[in-house]
Amino acid sequence: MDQIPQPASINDIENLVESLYQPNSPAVISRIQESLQALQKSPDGWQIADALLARSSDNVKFFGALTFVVKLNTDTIDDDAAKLLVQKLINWLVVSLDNGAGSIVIRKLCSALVTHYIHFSHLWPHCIRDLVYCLDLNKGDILDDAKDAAPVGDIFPSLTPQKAISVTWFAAALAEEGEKIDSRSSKYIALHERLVRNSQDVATIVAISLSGSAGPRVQRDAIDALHDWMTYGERIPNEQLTANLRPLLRPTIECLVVDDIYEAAIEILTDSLNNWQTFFTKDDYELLYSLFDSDWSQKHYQELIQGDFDFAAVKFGLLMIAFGDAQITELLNPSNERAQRFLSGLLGLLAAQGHLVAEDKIFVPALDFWATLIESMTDDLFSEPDQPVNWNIPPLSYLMQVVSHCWRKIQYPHISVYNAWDSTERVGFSDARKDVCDLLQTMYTLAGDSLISVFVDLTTQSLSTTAWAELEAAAFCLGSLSDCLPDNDSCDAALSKVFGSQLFDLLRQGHSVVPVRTRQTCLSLIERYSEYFVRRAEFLPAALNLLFGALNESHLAGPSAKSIYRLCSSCRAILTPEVGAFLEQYGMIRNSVPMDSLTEERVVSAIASIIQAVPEESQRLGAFQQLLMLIASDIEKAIQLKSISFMLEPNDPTSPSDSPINLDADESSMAVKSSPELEQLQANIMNILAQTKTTFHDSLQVMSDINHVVRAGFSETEPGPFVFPPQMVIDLLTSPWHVAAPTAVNTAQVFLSYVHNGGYRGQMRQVIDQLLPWVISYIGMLGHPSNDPELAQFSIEFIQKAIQRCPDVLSRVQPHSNAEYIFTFAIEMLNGKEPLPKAAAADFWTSFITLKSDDEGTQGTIDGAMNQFGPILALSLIQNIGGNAARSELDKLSDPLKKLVFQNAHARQWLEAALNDDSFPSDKVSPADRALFLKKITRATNQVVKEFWVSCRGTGLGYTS
Amino acid sequence: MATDKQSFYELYRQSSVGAALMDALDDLIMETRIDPQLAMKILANFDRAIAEVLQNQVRARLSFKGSLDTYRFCDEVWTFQLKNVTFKMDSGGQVVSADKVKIVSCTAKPTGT
Repeated sequence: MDQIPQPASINDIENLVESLYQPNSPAVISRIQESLQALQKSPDGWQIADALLARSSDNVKFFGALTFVVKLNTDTIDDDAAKLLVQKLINWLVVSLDNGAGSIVIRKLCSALVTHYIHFSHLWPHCIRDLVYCLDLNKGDILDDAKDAAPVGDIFPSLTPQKAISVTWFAAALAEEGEKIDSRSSKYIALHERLVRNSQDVATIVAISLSGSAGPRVQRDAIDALHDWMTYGERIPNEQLTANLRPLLRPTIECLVVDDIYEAAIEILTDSLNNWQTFFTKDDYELLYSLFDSDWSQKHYQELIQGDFDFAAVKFGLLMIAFGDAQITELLNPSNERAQRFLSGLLGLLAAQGHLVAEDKIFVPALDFWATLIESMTDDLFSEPDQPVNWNIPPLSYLMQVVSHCWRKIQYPHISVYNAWDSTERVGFSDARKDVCDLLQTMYTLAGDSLISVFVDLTTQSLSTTAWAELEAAAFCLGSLSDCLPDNDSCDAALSKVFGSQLFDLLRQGHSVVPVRTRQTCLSLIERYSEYFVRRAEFLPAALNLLFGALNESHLAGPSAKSIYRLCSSCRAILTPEVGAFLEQYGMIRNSVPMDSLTEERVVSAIASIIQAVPEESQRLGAFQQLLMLIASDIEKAIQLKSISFMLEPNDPTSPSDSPINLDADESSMAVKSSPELEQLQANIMNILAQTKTTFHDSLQVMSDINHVVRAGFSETEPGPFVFPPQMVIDLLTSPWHVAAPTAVNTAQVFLSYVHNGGYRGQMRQVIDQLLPWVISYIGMLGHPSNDPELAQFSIEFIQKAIQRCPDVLSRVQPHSNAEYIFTFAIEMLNGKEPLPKAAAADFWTSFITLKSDDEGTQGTIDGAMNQFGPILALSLIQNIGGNAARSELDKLSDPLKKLVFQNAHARQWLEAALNDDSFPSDKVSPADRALFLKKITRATNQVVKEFWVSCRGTGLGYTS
Repeated sequence: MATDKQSFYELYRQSSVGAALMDALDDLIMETRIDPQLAMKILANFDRAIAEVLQNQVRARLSFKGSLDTYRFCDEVWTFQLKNVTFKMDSGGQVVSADKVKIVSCTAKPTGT
């Protein structure tokens, strides 16, 4: 690719800037940018900027102004030069305005002036006044005379609209940049004080501009500037600033009714009501109430609720909601008629015409407001329980209307309408339904069981009129309340009206009668109220028959299987006599109904949960054997198919729990007792696993599933088919794993926790003796941790657990060089770049440093290893902390450092040597800094480590708090 | 509803994605490919973006039940300590239980710094 020739003249630079705006390949543009940036940063940058601003092209002028910004931010100049510079910049602004330069040039010049002010505010503290004065007289070099000039309020009205706008842009940029500057830093306190002093002049120019005498464009820019100053005032609170800006609110509110500036005015008011409610005075709120009562508001409101969701209409709704949020205390007061009238308007926002999300853009924000209001009502009622509660007057009386509006709004439209929506609209619709669920759950706290009755009635009414969309919405709402119900039968009578109705009969009639979506929601309703069926077992057979019947419909199989699982799990004690029937039913449907793997897994899990509850052991194991045979036949088929080069994924009969189980918790040990039937079952399962492992040895998914099955028993607290004896697990683990070695080693380390806390604790030593050489063989084959970071991580985690459980295991590792190899490997992991292995190695060393043994020989081995590897460990830790590690790794690396300092007498000596080693990665810290670090390390180690790391990497890295 | 002019918490910088971003920015600064000032701006953008994404885009939900053991409200931060908590995922997965849970929550709209 051709190199960009270095520009030799201003003309060349001008051409280069212009070429930046021509169609070019990204590579060429990138090279042009590099070349121009080099010019900006060069010592000639000041002269180049000046020269470019004299050119006629706006693009070139813009680049000139930008160059001034870059130079101000990167170069150091003295006050005299800075004073000349600001005069020059104002002169360029005057000239550019006179020449009719484009807004990009004027804005960039304003930006350059603001950058100058940020760095040199002491040279022209009253920047707004000075700028107005200079623009009025068309000169920049009279800055010193500005202090004797007439007040800003007298001069500003005489400026041309272009000049007035440029002052407003400057004022806006001043607040915008000022807000980004740390107000807590002593370096910038004076700057913020000067900004606050300027706010009086800003208020003056904004007030004059808002009067409208210079036209709507000036008004709009003035509102934008005010917005920036209010944001500044919100972030950096100051009474004087607030007092200066507050009088501008009233004229801003009055601007709402001016069409040309409606958008800017409504934006600032909505934003301020959302974020800075105390900025508004009582009079401001009164004015807004009057505004909402006006014909102008009524017109906008009617347009909105009649389905006009254009930008302006939605903005009006959002302003109402922001005002409602700010006035929530008043809205809760039943005696405030005006507030209640306004609240009824907010209620109406939930009933605007149009489909949710796809058309109606105001429902979701309005719903959010009502959720907040209901929470506030609940707080009020619970904080004053003696206060009389009257559901017949607002605001409480509105709540049932809220429920009604929500129920109507979440009803699915006709399928043709729904299918016409794009995916975002569908997802938005679904999300809005979930938001309604949240609101109903919030409301349940207030309304209690009466809310259940509302939806029970809506469900039964919709059933009787076969209004399917209404039925679906009612069932959906009823289902959403299931989590709120107390664990008693207080709502059973109401629920029986639904489950004892013709609902199940109708659902059984198929999609020609009831739409699929309604059937899906109603089937899920059974799952939601599975606890109800435990208490009202008379409805259970009908529910289960319905659910099993629905398995052969592809759209319903998923929710049906889910409901079957929940029902069988909840009602397992009632269903145990029927276990044979369930097995028979499953045996039939698996041959006749095509089910996906998740559906079948849920059905199998449902039956397994019933089997688990069978009290008599031989009957339980017999039932399990039947279920296992069905699964084994699936696996057999998969193996057969594999032989003809097909691949099927076997079902996981154990449904490994997704929930975390703390195997290291000190649970009471499980009593290990077994029966010949159980042993036979375990052997059968293990045979299936071994056969599957051999056949599918190249499939990571199958290997992972096998490990899941093995681990399933680790979380059991009673003997069972998956609670294998340790030797069985060891035999499986130590057999070849090909592609899945990391997964197997990970299982092995979980297995150690299981053995330690289960009924096999006495066998820990034998387990480690068999597994440790196997793990060491893997790391031996690895060579270096970076060759397989995952395997390295799990291996070192296994070894860490092994030495914690049996410290003497190290002295028994044969050959002895293997023990040394482990430590070297752990150091290599610590020195590496991979975050997880590095964290695992840090944990390993933390454990090892604190390792103690009652046996003198073992303790001698530990001490010997520590003395041998201590200096290397210290060097590795210091190199990491000295800048090699990433910031996120520092906390983890602080742990072994802390232990080393507190546990080992030689630690300081080792660390000192490491800090002074030639290989120390940073030249940014002096020997004195390193010595100080060593002294401070015993206190607040993590913080000291972080500070030292920043010093080593360079001050630039201290950018984050 | 968040706007460009709203301020945002820095607390998500300690999340794994935030920590990874800071590590990457650190490396870019070390390689002098960006200035620390740009890194600060990127982090400020991250503060805004993650707050908005969590608020507007993440729709996964869960519900939980438990006994409220202790609560306090200090410096605009609520702290709840719950016992015997069960979490129910939106996706219909299994129930997750925990003996103790601590919830620290900040107001969605930070007050001025």
